[in-house]
Amino acid sequence: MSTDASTTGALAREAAADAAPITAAPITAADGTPLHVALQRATRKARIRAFLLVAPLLAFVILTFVAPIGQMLWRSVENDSFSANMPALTAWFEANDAVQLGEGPDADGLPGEDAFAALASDLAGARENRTAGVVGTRVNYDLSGSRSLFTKSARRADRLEAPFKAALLDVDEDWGDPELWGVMRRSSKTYTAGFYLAAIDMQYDAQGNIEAVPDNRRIYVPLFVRTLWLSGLISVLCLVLAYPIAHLLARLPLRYSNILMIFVLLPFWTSLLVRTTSWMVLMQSQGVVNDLLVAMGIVSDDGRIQMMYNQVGTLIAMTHILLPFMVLPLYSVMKTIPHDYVRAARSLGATPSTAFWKIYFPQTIPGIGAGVLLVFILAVGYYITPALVGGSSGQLISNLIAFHMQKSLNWSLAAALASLLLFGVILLYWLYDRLIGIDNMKFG
Amino acid sequence: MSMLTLPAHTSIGERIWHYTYLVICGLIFLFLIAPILIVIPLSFNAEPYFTFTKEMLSIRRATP
Repeated sequence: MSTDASTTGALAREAAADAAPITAAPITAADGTPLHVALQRATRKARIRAFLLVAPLLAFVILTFVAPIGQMLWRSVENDSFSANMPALTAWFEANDAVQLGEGPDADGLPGEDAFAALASDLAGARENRTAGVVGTRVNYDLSGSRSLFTKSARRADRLEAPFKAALLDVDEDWGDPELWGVMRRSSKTYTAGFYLAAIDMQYDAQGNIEAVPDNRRIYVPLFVRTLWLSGLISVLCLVLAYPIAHLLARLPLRYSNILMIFVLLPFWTSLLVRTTSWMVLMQSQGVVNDLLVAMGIVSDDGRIQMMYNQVGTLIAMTHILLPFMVLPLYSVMKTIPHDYVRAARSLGATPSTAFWKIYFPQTIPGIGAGVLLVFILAVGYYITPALVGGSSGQLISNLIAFHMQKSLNWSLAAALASLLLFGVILLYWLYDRLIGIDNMKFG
Repeated sequence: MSMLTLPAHTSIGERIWHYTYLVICGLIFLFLIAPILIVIPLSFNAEPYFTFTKEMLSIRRATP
């Protein structure tokens, strides 16, 4: 309709332009307005109506999806807990941006009296506003032990007198640590890439150069690798387990497959926590499976297999929980494949394996793609199950994000880790689209 | 050819594979349903912890 209207409008304008030298009177609608103006008005009404119809949905998506994720991305680069609460020292850092630490006037690697005066006035302000803990926590992210330094110094801030440098060093000699001043300088910047660096096990050294953290403190990159590796393994396991039963369900007569479908749907509908707890009962070292193995004499009573509270536990429980997400897309795709193709291949002389790999399997690829992508993306963000059955070796990156959200309260680092995870998933989705094509995917 | 009855010309190897396949599927279904079934006896557990012992078969409430 809109195409019609615009063509008519164009025609009307052309006609008007052609007619202009002769009559000068444009073609008008019944109420006297030029025709193309009237048409534009009519289509604008339709456009506004269409926009108003989707407006509630748009507002909902922006409010519940775009805004929180945008806020999370924002938080991962912005942290003003230092600059907002230590204005004088922040201003000093900005003014003396060129002064490198280690070149202080007193040649002791420290800034001069004016910086300490700014620090003392900020500490007094922090004492009044009770924000010394906030500032200390921010500095503590990069230099542990500094939180108590800030709270302690803020408590005595009202008794500080000039010369402030000597007074502060008297309160705590840690103020004479050049590294602390380097960390404070970096913390004073509201916008920082420091949290992303921390999330990939990098840090700034005393000169402000980027370096890798010592080997024994690298936790995030190995955890990302473990998360991706375990998610990939879980996807493959789910595919291997789901393929046969999806095939069976698709090929059985409906009265049998409906009953067997309950075996897939019942776990699907059962609470995640119930299933995880059941696995703990089944697989723990004093659990049902180990008891059976001991009773059958396969393992000795001392040699019970440790299947819970480690990576194996995470693997088994998550494979079980995510299996229906693989079975259902596979089943819906296999249901639409007529068995006649395989029969035709067999009647033309194909062996069973040739008929399967050349004829049947390629037709199920849309279902495999959908299932693997679904399971992988769900597994990458999994949190409850690894927390319950993962022990220490089965933790995933989400558990650490939760730790930084709830325990260490380093929300900026949590946001940086979550953003990296999000970008990783988007990258994988893009790769999938390039390699297989997203329109080849079928969920049902 | 239905999934349950094999045609007469099926070879021995195919028959063996067919029943192996059904057993594999049965095991996978067992894997799926076992954690759900295990909850039922557990709910009669009279001890404060989840164990499978003689004492668990009681309808008395667990005494902490």
